[in-house]
Amino acid sequence: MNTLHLMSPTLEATIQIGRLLGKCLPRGAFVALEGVLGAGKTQFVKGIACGLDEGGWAGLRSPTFTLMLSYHGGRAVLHHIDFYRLNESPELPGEILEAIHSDRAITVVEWADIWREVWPKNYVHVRIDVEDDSNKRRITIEDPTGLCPDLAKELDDYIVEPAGT
Amino acid sequence: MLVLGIETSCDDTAVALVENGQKILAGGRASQEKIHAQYGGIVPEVACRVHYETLMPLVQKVCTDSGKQLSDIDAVAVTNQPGLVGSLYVGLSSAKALAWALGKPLVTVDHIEAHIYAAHLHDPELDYPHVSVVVSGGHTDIFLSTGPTEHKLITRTLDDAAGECFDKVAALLGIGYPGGPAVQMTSLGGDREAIKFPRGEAGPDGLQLSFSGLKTAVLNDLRKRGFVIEAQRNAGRLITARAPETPVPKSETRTLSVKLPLADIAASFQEAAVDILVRATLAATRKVRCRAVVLCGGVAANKRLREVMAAACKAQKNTGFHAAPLNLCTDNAEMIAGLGFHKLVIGQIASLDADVLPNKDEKRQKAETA
Repeated sequence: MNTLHLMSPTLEATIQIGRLLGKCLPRGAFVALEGVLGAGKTQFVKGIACGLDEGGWAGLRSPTFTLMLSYHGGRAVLHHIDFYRLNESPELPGEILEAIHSDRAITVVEWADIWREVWPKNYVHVRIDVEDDSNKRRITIEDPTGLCPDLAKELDDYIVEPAGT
Repeated sequence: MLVLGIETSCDDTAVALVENGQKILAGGRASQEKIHAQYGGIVPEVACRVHYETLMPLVQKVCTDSGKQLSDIDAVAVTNQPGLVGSLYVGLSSAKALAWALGKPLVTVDHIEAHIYAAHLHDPELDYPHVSVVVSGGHTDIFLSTGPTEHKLITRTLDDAAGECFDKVAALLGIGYPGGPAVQMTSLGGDREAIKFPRGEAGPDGLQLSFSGLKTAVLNDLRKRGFVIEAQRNAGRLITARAPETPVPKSETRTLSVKLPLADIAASFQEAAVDILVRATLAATRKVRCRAVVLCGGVAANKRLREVMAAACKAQKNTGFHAAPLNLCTDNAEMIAGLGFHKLVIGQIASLDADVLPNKDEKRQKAETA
Protein backbone atom coordinates (compact mmCIF):
# COMPACT_ATOMS: atom_id res chain seq x y z
CA MET A 1 0.00 0.00 0.00
CA ASN A 2 1.57 3.28 -1.10
CA THR A 3 0.15 6.16 0.88
CA LEU A 4 1.38 9.76 0.83
CA HIS A 5 0.49 12.18 3.60
CA LEU A 6 0.68 15.78 2.42
CA MET A 7 0.01 19.20 3.88
CA SER A 8 -1.13 22.06 1.67
CA PRO A 9 -0.88 25.50 3.30
CA THR A 10 -2.86 27.38 0.63
CA LEU A 11 -5.40 26.93 -2.15
CA GLU A 12 -2.61 27.55 -4.66
CA ALA A 13 -0.59 24.69 -3.13
CA THR A 14 -3.65 22.40 -3.32
CA ILE A 15 -3.92 23.16 -7.05
CA GLN A 16 -0.17 22.60 -7.42
CA ILE A 17 -0.40 19.17 -5.73
CA GLY A 18 -3.20 18.33 -8.18
CA ARG A 19 -0.99 19.45 -11.04
CA LEU A 20 1.92 17.24 -9.93
CA LEU A 21 -0.45 14.27 -9.59
CA GLY A 22 -1.83 15.06 -13.06
CA LYS A 23 1.68 14.93 -14.51
CA CYS A 24 2.22 11.43 -13.08
CA LEU A 25 -1.13 9.87 -14.07
CA PRO A 26 -0.97 7.28 -16.85
CA ARG A 27 -3.70 6.98 -19.50
CA GLY A 28 -6.69 5.02 -18.25
CA ALA A 29 -6.11 6.13 -14.65
CA PHE A 30 -9.05 6.48 -12.29
CA VAL A 31 -8.85 9.02 -9.47
CA ALA A 32 -11.38 8.92 -6.62
CA LEU A 33 -11.78 12.13 -4.64
CA GLU A 34 -13.15 12.36 -1.15
CA GLY A 35 -13.74 15.42 1.02
CA VAL A 36 -16.57 17.51 2.47
CA LEU A 37 -18.35 20.31 0.60
CA GLY A 38 -15.96 23.22 0.22
CA ALA A 39 -12.84 21.13 0.85
CA GLY A 40 -11.50 22.06 -2.59
CA LYS A 41 -12.14 18.96 -4.71
CA THR A 42 -12.97 20.91 -7.88
CA GLN A 43 -9.91 23.12 -7.31
CA PHE A 44 -7.79 19.98 -7.01
CA VAL A 45 -9.18 18.73 -10.33
CA LYS A 46 -8.21 22.07 -11.90
CA GLY A 47 -4.69 21.18 -10.84
CA ILE A 48 -4.94 17.71 -12.42
CA ALA A 49 -6.22 19.28 -15.66
CA CYS A 50 -3.27 21.62 -15.58
CA GLY A 51 -0.92 18.65 -15.18
CA LEU A 52 -2.37 17.13 -18.35
CA ASP A 53 -2.44 20.37 -20.28
CA GLU A 54 -0.68 23.52 -19.01
CA GLY A 55 -3.24 26.29 -18.82
CA GLY A 56 -5.97 23.79 -19.59
CA TRP A 57 -7.83 24.36 -16.35
CA ALA A 58 -9.17 27.78 -17.29
CA GLY A 59 -12.46 26.39 -18.54
CA LEU A 60 -12.84 23.70 -15.88
CA ARG A 61 -16.01 24.14 -13.86
CA SER A 62 -17.99 22.08 -11.40
CA PRO A 63 -19.65 19.02 -13.01
CA THR A 64 -22.24 18.70 -10.24
CA PHE A 65 -25.17 19.73 -12.42
CA THR A 66 -24.31 17.91 -15.64
CA LEU A 67 -22.76 14.92 -13.78
CA MET A 68 -19.84 14.78 -16.24
CA LEU A 69 -17.71 17.28 -18.16
CA SER A 70 -14.96 16.18 -20.53
CA TYR A 71 -11.87 18.06 -21.67
CA HIS A 72 -9.95 17.21 -24.81
CA GLY A 73 -7.03 19.61 -24.89
CA GLY A 74 -4.37 17.66 -22.98
CA ARG A 75 -2.19 14.60 -23.43
CA ALA A 76 -5.21 12.44 -22.50
CA VAL A 77 -8.94 13.13 -22.44
CA LEU A 78 -10.03 14.15 -18.94
CA HIS A 79 -13.46 13.06 -17.74
CA HIS A 80 -14.48 15.06 -14.67
CA ILE A 81 -17.41 13.37 -12.94
CA ASP A 82 -19.38 14.17 -9.79
CA PHE A 83 -21.42 11.53 -7.93
CA TYR A 84 -22.86 14.16 -5.57
CA ARG A 85 -26.28 14.11 -7.21
CA LEU A 86 -26.22 10.35 -7.76
CA ASN A 87 -26.58 9.64 -4.07
CA GLU A 88 -28.68 6.47 -3.74
CA SER A 89 -29.30 6.31 -7.45
CA PRO A 90 -30.12 2.67 -8.25
CA GLU A 91 -27.87 2.72 -11.30
CA LEU A 92 -25.31 4.88 -13.07
CA PRO A 93 -25.80 6.32 -16.58
CA GLY A 94 -24.06 4.28 -19.25
CA GLU A 95 -21.81 7.09 -20.45
CA ILE A 96 -20.44 7.51 -16.94
CA LEU A 97 -19.65 3.79 -16.58
CA GLU A 98 -17.98 3.93 -19.97
CA ALA A 99 -15.80 6.85 -18.89
CA ILE A 100 -14.83 5.12 -15.64
CA HIS A 101 -13.66 2.01 -17.45
CA SER A 102 -11.95 3.78 -20.35
CA ASP A 103 -8.38 2.60 -20.79
CA ARG A 104 -7.33 5.71 -22.72
CA ALA A 105 -8.87 8.61 -20.83
CA ILE A 106 -8.13 9.85 -17.33
CA THR A 107 -11.21 9.89 -15.13
CA VAL A 108 -11.53 11.90 -11.93
CA VAL A 109 -14.60 11.42 -9.75
CA GLU A 110 -15.73 13.72 -6.94
CA TRP A 111 -17.73 12.07 -4.14
CA ALA A 112 -16.43 8.78 -5.53
CA ASP A 113 -17.16 6.91 -2.29
CA ILE A 114 -20.89 7.04 -3.04
CA TRP A 115 -20.38 4.37 -5.71
CA ARG A 116 -17.33 2.46 -4.55
CA GLU A 117 -18.58 -0.70 -6.25
CA VAL A 118 -17.95 0.70 -9.74
CA TRP A 119 -14.29 1.61 -9.17
CA PRO A 120 -11.82 -0.19 -11.44
CA LYS A 121 -9.13 -2.40 -9.87
CA ASN A 122 -6.45 0.23 -10.39
CA TYR A 123 -7.26 3.51 -8.78
CA VAL A 124 -5.72 6.46 -6.97
CA HIS A 125 -7.66 7.67 -3.94
CA VAL A 126 -7.30 11.28 -2.80
CA ARG A 127 -8.76 12.47 0.47
CA ILE A 128 -8.86 16.18 1.29
CA ASP A 129 -9.37 17.07 4.95
CA VAL A 130 -9.99 20.59 6.16
CA GLU A 131 -7.47 21.71 8.80
CA ASP A 132 -8.32 24.47 11.26
CA ASP A 133 -6.74 27.27 9.25
CA SER A 134 -9.10 28.42 6.55
CA ASN A 135 -7.25 27.21 3.46
CA LYS A 136 -4.92 24.64 5.01
CA ARG A 137 -5.68 21.10 3.83
CA ARG A 138 -4.36 17.68 4.77
CA ILE A 139 -4.25 15.64 1.57
CA THR A 140 -3.86 11.86 1.64
CA ILE A 141 -3.09 10.09 -1.63
CA GLU A 142 -3.33 6.31 -1.82
CA ASP A 143 -1.94 4.50 -4.83
CA PRO A 144 -2.41 0.83 -3.86
CA THR A 145 -1.36 -0.68 -7.19
CA GLY A 146 1.49 1.70 -7.97
CA LEU A 147 -0.09 3.56 -10.92
CA CYS A 148 2.18 6.56 -10.33
CA PRO A 149 5.66 5.36 -9.34
CA ASP A 150 7.18 8.88 -9.41
CA LEU A 151 4.52 10.49 -7.28
CA ALA A 152 6.44 10.54 -3.97
CA LYS A 153 9.42 12.20 -5.65
CA GLU A 154 7.25 14.86 -7.31
CA LEU A 155 5.36 15.66 -4.14
CA ASP A 156 8.36 15.55 -1.80
CA ASP A 157 8.00 19.23 -0.76
CA TYR A 158 4.55 18.62 0.71
CA ILE A 159 5.07 15.30 2.53
CA VAL A 160 4.38 15.31 6.28
CA GLU A 161 3.88 12.76 9.03
CA PRO A 162 0.53 10.93 8.98
CA ALA A 163 -2.23 12.56 11.03
CA GLY A 164 -2.20 11.60 14.69
CA THR A 165 1.48 10.71 14.88
CA MET B 1 -48.30 31.24 -35.90
CA LEU B 2 -48.86 28.66 -33.23
CA VAL B 3 -45.78 26.90 -31.82
CA LEU B 4 -45.80 23.89 -29.50
CA GLY B 5 -42.85 24.01 -27.10
CA ILE B 6 -41.36 20.95 -25.39
CA GLU B 7 -38.77 21.09 -22.60
CA THR B 8 -37.24 17.98 -20.96
CA SER B 9 -33.60 18.92 -20.48
CA CYS B 10 -33.42 18.17 -16.77
CA ASP B 11 -36.03 17.05 -14.25
CA ASP B 12 -39.05 19.12 -15.28
CA THR B 13 -41.34 18.00 -18.09
CA ALA B 14 -42.91 21.10 -19.65
CA VAL B 15 -45.17 21.76 -22.64
CA ALA B 16 -46.64 25.06 -23.86
CA LEU B 17 -48.55 26.58 -26.75
CA VAL B 18 -47.45 30.09 -27.67
CA GLU B 19 -48.73 32.27 -30.50
CA ASN B 20 -46.29 34.42 -32.50
CA GLY B 21 -43.59 34.11 -29.84
CA GLN B 22 -45.58 36.31 -27.49
CA LYS B 23 -49.02 35.16 -26.49
CA ILE B 24 -49.12 32.21 -24.09
CA LEU B 25 -52.25 30.15 -24.79
CA ALA B 26 -51.50 27.35 -22.34
CA GLY B 27 -48.58 25.90 -20.47
CA GLY B 28 -48.07 22.88 -18.25
CA ARG B 29 -45.22 21.64 -16.15
CA ALA B 30 -44.72 18.44 -14.19
CA SER B 31 -41.91 18.66 -11.70
CA GLN B 32 -40.12 15.47 -10.71
CA GLU B 33 -38.79 17.02 -7.53
CA LYS B 34 -40.80 14.75 -5.23
CA ILE B 35 -39.83 11.62 -7.11
CA HIS B 36 -36.12 12.44 -6.95
CA ALA B 37 -36.36 13.52 -3.32
CA GLN B 38 -36.97 9.84 -2.51
CA TYR B 39 -33.52 9.11 -3.90
CA GLY B 40 -31.90 12.18 -2.36
CA GLY B 41 -30.78 13.48 -5.74
CA ILE B 42 -31.58 13.41 -9.41
CA VAL B 43 -31.40 9.98 -10.96
CA PRO B 44 -30.89 10.36 -14.70
CA GLU B 45 -32.48 7.02 -15.67
CA VAL B 46 -35.52 7.75 -13.53
CA ALA B 47 -35.78 11.25 -15.02
CA CYS B 48 -35.97 9.72 -18.53
CA ARG B 49 -38.71 7.30 -17.60
CA VAL B 50 -40.79 9.99 -15.93
CA HIS B 51 -40.41 12.32 -18.95
CA TYR B 52 -41.43 9.40 -21.14
CA GLU B 53 -44.59 8.76 -19.13
CA THR B 54 -45.52 12.41 -18.57
CA LEU B 55 -44.83 14.14 -21.85
CA MET B 56 -47.65 13.07 -24.20
CA PRO B 57 -50.45 13.37 -21.61
CA LEU B 58 -49.12 16.87 -20.91
CA VAL B 59 -49.28 17.71 -24.65
CA GLN B 60 -52.90 16.55 -24.65
CA LYS B 61 -53.69 18.59 -21.55
CA VAL B 62 -52.14 21.76 -22.96
CA CYS B 63 -54.18 21.32 -26.15
CA THR B 64 -57.38 20.84 -24.15
CA ASP B 65 -56.62 23.84 -21.91
CA SER B 66 -56.06 26.11 -24.89
CA GLY B 67 -58.98 24.77 -26.90
CA LYS B 68 -56.64 23.92 -29.77
CA GLN B 69 -56.14 20.75 -31.77
CA LEU B 70 -52.74 19.30 -32.56
CA SER B 71 -53.58 20.02 -36.22
CA ASP B 72 -53.70 23.79 -35.43
CA ILE B 73 -49.99 23.79 -34.61
CA ASP B 74 -47.62 25.43 -37.11
CA ALA B 75 -44.34 24.10 -35.72
CA VAL B 76 -42.84 22.02 -32.90
CA ALA B 77 -39.99 23.56 -30.90
CA VAL B 78 -37.89 21.46 -28.53
CA THR B 79 -34.82 21.86 -26.32
CA ASN B 80 -31.91 19.86 -27.70
CA GLN B 81 -29.09 21.41 -25.65
CA PRO B 82 -27.66 21.48 -23.02
CA GLY B 83 -28.93 19.00 -20.42
CA LEU B 84 -28.98 15.37 -19.36
CA VAL B 85 -28.52 13.13 -22.41
CA GLY B 86 -31.39 10.74 -21.80
CA SER B 87 -33.82 13.45 -20.79
CA LEU B 88 -33.05 15.50 -23.91
CA TYR B 89 -33.61 12.41 -26.10
CA VAL B 90 -37.12 11.86 -24.75
CA GLY B 91 -38.14 15.43 -25.68
CA LEU B 92 -36.38 15.46 -29.04
CA SER B 93 -37.71 12.04 -30.14
CA SER B 94 -41.26 12.97 -29.20
CA ALA B 95 -40.97 16.33 -30.96
CA LYS B 96 -39.63 14.65 -34.09
CA ALA B 97 -42.49 12.15 -34.10
CA LEU B 98 -45.07 14.92 -33.65
CA ALA B 99 -43.53 17.14 -36.32
CA TRP B 100 -43.29 14.24 -38.75
CA ALA B 101 -46.81 12.99 -38.10
CA LEU B 102 -48.30 16.49 -38.39
CA GLY B 103 -46.17 17.39 -41.40
CA LYS B 104 -44.94 20.54 -39.63
CA PRO B 105 -41.44 21.96 -39.20
CA LEU B 106 -39.23 20.99 -36.24
CA VAL B 107 -37.19 23.68 -34.49
CA THR B 108 -34.45 22.87 -31.99
CA VAL B 109 -33.79 25.38 -29.25
CA ASP B 110 -30.87 26.11 -26.94
CA HIS B 111 -32.11 26.01 -23.35
CA ILE B 112 -29.88 28.91 -22.26
CA GLU B 113 -30.97 31.16 -25.14
CA ALA B 114 -34.55 30.31 -24.25
CA HIS B 115 -34.03 31.39 -20.62
CA ILE B 116 -32.92 34.79 -21.93
CA TYR B 117 -35.96 34.91 -24.21
CA ALA B 118 -38.25 34.45 -21.19
CA ALA B 119 -37.74 38.15 -20.38
CA HIS B 120 -38.88 39.10 -23.90
CA LEU B 121 -41.91 36.86 -23.65
CA HIS B 122 -42.96 38.90 -20.66
CA ASP B 123 -42.08 42.28 -22.12
CA PRO B 124 -42.55 42.74 -25.91
CA GLU B 125 -41.10 46.28 -25.66
CA LEU B 126 -37.75 44.95 -24.43
CA ASP B 127 -35.19 45.68 -27.12
CA TYR B 128 -31.70 44.44 -28.03
CA PRO B 129 -28.87 44.79 -27.26
CA HIS B 130 -28.77 43.92 -23.59
CA VAL B 131 -26.47 42.20 -21.14
CA SER B 132 -28.03 38.84 -20.20
CA VAL B 133 -27.31 37.30 -16.82
CA VAL B 134 -28.24 33.60 -16.83
CA VAL B 135 -28.13 32.20 -13.30
CA SER B 136 -29.32 28.68 -12.54
CA GLY B 137 -28.28 25.38 -10.98
CA GLY B 138 -26.03 24.56 -13.91
CA HIS B 139 -25.09 27.99 -15.28
CA THR B 140 -23.77 31.37 -14.31
CA ASP B 141 -23.06 33.04 -17.62
CA ILE B 142 -23.16 36.69 -18.68
CA PHE B 143 -23.70 37.42 -22.38
CA LEU B 144 -24.08 40.40 -24.65
CA SER B 145 -27.31 39.65 -26.52
CA THR B 146 -27.92 41.33 -29.85
CA GLY B 147 -30.81 39.15 -31.02
CA PRO B 148 -32.95 36.19 -29.93
CA THR B 149 -30.24 33.73 -30.94
CA GLU B 150 -27.21 36.01 -30.90
CA HIS B 151 -25.33 35.92 -27.61
CA LYS B 152 -21.66 36.57 -27.06
CA LEU B 153 -20.19 35.30 -23.80
CA ILE B 154 -18.68 38.07 -21.67
CA THR B 155 -17.88 36.09 -18.54
CA ARG B 156 -18.91 32.98 -16.65
CA THR B 157 -18.25 31.27 -13.35
CA LEU B 158 -14.79 29.81 -12.88
CA ASP B 159 -16.13 26.94 -10.80
CA ASP B 160 -19.60 26.41 -9.29
CA ALA B 161 -22.82 27.79 -10.73
CA ALA B 162 -24.65 30.20 -8.43
CA GLY B 163 -27.61 27.83 -8.00
CA GLU B 164 -25.27 24.97 -7.19
CA CYS B 165 -23.68 27.15 -4.51
CA PHE B 166 -27.12 27.84 -2.98
CA ASP B 167 -27.91 24.09 -3.06
CA LYS B 168 -24.65 23.12 -1.41
CA VAL B 169 -24.74 25.81 1.26
CA ALA B 170 -28.34 24.79 2.02
CA ALA B 171 -27.05 21.22 2.38
CA LEU B 172 -24.30 22.39 4.76
CA LEU B 173 -26.88 24.24 6.85
CA GLY B 174 -29.30 21.31 6.68
CA ILE B 175 -32.18 23.50 5.52
CA GLY B 176 -33.37 21.46 2.56
CA TYR B 177 -33.43 21.25 -1.22
CA PRO B 178 -33.65 23.08 -3.61
CA GLY B 179 -31.28 25.55 -2.00
CA GLY B 180 -32.51 28.80 -3.57
CA PRO B 181 -35.97 28.88 -1.95
CA ALA B 182 -34.58 27.26 1.25
CA VAL B 183 -31.92 29.96 1.71
CA GLN B 184 -34.37 32.74 0.87
CA MET B 185 -36.89 31.44 3.40
CA THR B 186 -34.28 30.87 6.13
CA SER B 187 -32.74 34.31 5.60
CA LEU B 188 -35.99 36.11 6.49
CA GLY B 189 -35.35 38.32 9.49
CA GLY B 190 -31.63 37.50 9.45
CA ASP B 191 -28.89 40.12 9.61
CA ARG B 192 -27.26 40.45 6.19
CA GLU B 193 -24.20 42.05 7.77
CA ALA B 194 -23.80 39.49 10.59
CA ILE B 195 -20.98 37.60 8.90
CA LYS B 196 -18.63 39.17 6.38
CA PHE B 197 -18.34 36.39 3.84
CA PRO B 198 -15.68 37.02 1.20
CA ARG B 199 -16.82 38.24 -2.23
CA GLY B 200 -13.70 36.82 -3.92
CA GLU B 201 -11.43 38.52 -6.39
CA ALA B 202 -13.11 40.66 -9.02
CA GLY B 203 -10.13 40.43 -11.36
CA PRO B 204 -8.57 43.34 -13.27
CA ASP B 205 -11.70 44.04 -15.32
CA GLY B 206 -14.15 43.21 -12.53
CA LEU B 207 -15.57 40.30 -14.52
CA GLN B 208 -14.30 37.38 -12.45
CA LEU B 209 -17.09 35.17 -11.12
CA SER B 210 -16.41 32.43 -8.58
CA PHE B 211 -18.55 30.78 -5.92
CA SER B 212 -16.40 27.97 -4.55
CA GLY B 213 -14.55 30.33 -2.17
CA LEU B 214 -17.86 31.50 -0.73
CA LYS B 215 -18.96 27.89 -0.20
CA THR B 216 -15.69 27.17 1.63
CA ALA B 217 -16.15 30.32 3.73
CA VAL B 218 -19.53 29.04 4.95
CA LEU B 219 -17.88 25.71 5.77
CA ASN B 220 -15.16 27.53 7.74
CA ASP B 221 -17.73 29.60 9.60
CA LEU B 222 -19.56 26.45 10.69
CA ARG B 223 -16.27 24.90 11.83
CA LYS B 224 -15.45 28.01 13.85
CA ARG B 225 -18.75 27.58 15.63
CA GLY B 226 -17.66 24.11 16.61
CA PHE B 227 -19.62 22.12 14.09
CA VAL B 228 -18.16 19.01 12.57
CA ILE B 229 -19.05 18.63 8.92
CA GLU B 230 -19.28 15.06 7.82
CA ALA B 231 -20.26 13.30 4.69
CA GLN B 232 -23.09 10.86 5.10
CA ARG B 233 -24.13 8.56 2.37
CA ASN B 234 -27.52 7.24 3.26
CA ALA B 235 -29.25 10.14 4.87
CA GLY B 236 -31.21 11.44 1.93
CA ARG B 237 -29.07 14.52 2.33
CA LEU B 238 -25.43 14.02 1.72
CA ILE B 239 -24.08 16.39 4.29
CA THR B 240 -24.93 17.07 7.86
CA ALA B 241 -23.39 19.52 10.25
CA ARG B 242 -23.33 18.42 13.87
CA ALA B 243 -21.96 19.86 17.05
CA PRO B 244 -18.92 18.05 18.46
CA GLU B 245 -20.05 15.28 20.78
CA THR B 246 -17.65 15.89 23.66
CA PRO B 247 -18.90 19.16 25.13
CA VAL B 248 -22.56 18.22 24.79
CA PRO B 249 -24.03 16.44 27.83
CA LYS B 250 -25.79 13.26 26.80
CA SER B 251 -29.03 14.27 28.47
CA GLU B 252 -29.22 17.41 26.41
CA THR B 253 -30.53 17.20 22.90
CA ARG B 254 -29.34 19.97 20.69
CA THR B 255 -30.64 20.43 17.24
CA LEU B 256 -28.93 22.31 14.48
CA SER B 257 -31.46 25.09 14.38
CA VAL B 258 -31.07 25.87 18.07
CA LYS B 259 -27.30 25.97 17.94
CA LEU B 260 -26.78 27.95 14.76
CA PRO B 261 -27.92 31.51 13.94
CA LEU B 262 -29.29 30.08 10.71
CA ALA B 263 -31.13 33.23 9.61
CA ASP B 264 -27.99 35.36 9.97
CA ILE B 265 -25.79 32.85 8.16
CA ALA B 266 -28.32 32.40 5.34
CA ALA B 267 -28.88 36.17 4.97
CA SER B 268 -25.14 36.94 5.04
CA PHE B 269 -24.41 34.18 2.54
CA GLN B 270 -27.21 35.31 0.23
CA GLU B 271 -25.93 38.89 0.37
CA ALA B 272 -22.42 37.78 -0.59
CA ALA B 273 -23.69 35.65 -3.50
CA VAL B 274 -25.85 38.54 -4.71
CA ASP B 275 -22.93 40.99 -4.45
CA ILE B 276 -20.69 38.71 -6.54
CA LEU B 277 -23.35 38.50 -9.28
CA VAL B 278 -24.15 42.21 -9.24
CA ARG B 279 -20.48 43.23 -9.31
CA ALA B 280 -19.75 41.10 -12.40
CA THR B 281 -22.96 42.23 -14.12
CA LEU B 282 -22.14 45.92 -13.70
CA ALA B 283 -18.58 45.31 -14.90
CA ALA B 284 -19.99 43.51 -17.96
CA THR B 285 -22.28 46.43 -18.85
CA ARG B 286 -19.31 48.80 -18.61
CA LYS B 287 -17.12 46.55 -20.69
CA VAL B 288 -19.55 46.26 -23.60
CA ARG B 289 -21.01 49.75 -23.03
CA CYS B 290 -24.54 48.48 -22.81
CA ARG B 291 -27.24 50.17 -20.74
CA ALA B 292 -29.71 47.33 -20.26
CA VAL B 293 -29.60 44.18 -18.12
CA VAL B 294 -31.78 41.07 -18.35
CA LEU B 295 -31.80 38.66 -15.40
CA CYS B 296 -33.05 35.12 -15.99
CA GLY B 297 -32.73 31.45 -14.97
CA GLY B 298 -33.87 29.73 -11.78
CA VAL B 299 -31.77 31.84 -9.40
CA ALA B 300 -33.32 34.99 -10.93
CA ALA B 301 -36.37 34.09 -8.84
CA ASN B 302 -34.39 35.13 -5.73
CA LYS B 303 -36.07 38.21 -4.33
CA ARG B 304 -32.95 39.79 -2.84
CA LEU B 305 -31.01 39.34 -6.10
CA ARG B 306 -33.78 41.11 -8.06
CA GLU B 307 -33.90 43.93 -5.51
CA VAL B 308 -30.16 44.59 -5.32
CA MET B 309 -29.62 44.15 -9.06
CA ALA B 310 -32.44 46.60 -9.85
CA ALA B 311 -31.05 49.21 -7.45
CA ALA B 312 -27.46 48.76 -8.66
CA CYS B 313 -28.49 49.13 -12.31
CA LYS B 314 -30.42 52.28 -11.53
CA ALA B 315 -27.45 53.72 -9.65
CA GLN B 316 -25.13 53.03 -12.57
CA LYS B 317 -26.18 55.61 -15.16
CA ASN B 318 -29.79 54.55 -14.89
CA THR B 319 -29.13 51.23 -16.65
CA GLY B 320 -32.38 49.50 -17.57
CA PHE B 321 -33.21 46.37 -15.58
CA HIS B 322 -35.53 43.59 -16.73
CA ALA B 323 -36.06 40.29 -14.96
CA ALA B 324 -37.89 37.30 -16.36
CA PRO B 325 -41.24 36.93 -14.57
CA LEU B 326 -41.07 34.58 -11.58
CA ASN B 327 -43.09 31.80 -13.23
CA LEU B 328 -40.78 31.83 -16.27
CA CYS B 329 -37.48 31.83 -14.35
CA THR B 330 -37.39 28.11 -13.67
CA ASP B 331 -37.46 25.63 -16.54
CA ASN B 332 -40.57 26.02 -18.68
CA ALA B 333 -41.76 25.37 -22.23
CA GLU B 334 -43.23 28.82 -22.88
CA MET B 335 -39.71 30.15 -23.43
CA ILE B 336 -38.96 27.24 -25.79
CA ALA B 337 -42.06 27.87 -27.90
CA GLY B 338 -41.36 31.63 -27.84
CA LEU B 339 -37.79 31.36 -29.06
CA GLY B 340 -38.84 28.56 -31.44
CA PHE B 341 -41.13 31.03 -33.20
CA HIS B 342 -38.23 33.41 -33.88
CA LYS B 343 -36.05 30.63 -35.24
CA LEU B 344 -38.93 29.49 -37.44
CA VAL B 345 -39.39 33.02 -38.83
CA ILE B 346 -35.74 33.26 -39.84
CA GLY B 347 -35.88 29.78 -41.35
CA GLN B 348 -33.71 27.92 -38.80
CA ILE B 349 -35.56 24.65 -39.18
CA ALA B 350 -34.06 21.40 -37.92
CA SER B 351 -34.00 18.23 -39.99
CA LEU B 352 -35.40 14.96 -38.69
CA ASP B 353 -31.90 13.66 -38.03
CA ALA B 354 -31.20 16.46 -35.52
CA ASP B 355 -29.27 15.24 -32.48
CA VAL B 356 -28.98 16.34 -28.86
CA LEU B 357 -25.93 18.31 -27.69
CA PRO B 358 -25.94 17.56 -23.96
CA ASN B 359 -22.56 19.10 -23.28
CA LYS B 360 -22.46 22.13 -25.49
CA ASP B 361 -20.06 23.88 -23.14
CA GLU B 362 -17.47 21.26 -23.85
CA LYS B 363 -17.50 22.15 -27.54
CA ARG B 364 -17.49 25.82 -26.75
CA GLN B 365 -14.57 25.31 -24.42
CA LYS B 366 -12.70 23.37 -27.07
CA ALA B 367 -13.29 26.20 -29.51
CA GLU B 368 -12.10 28.74 -26.98
CA THR B 369 -8.89 26.91 -26.19
CA ALA B 370 -8.19 26.08 -29.84
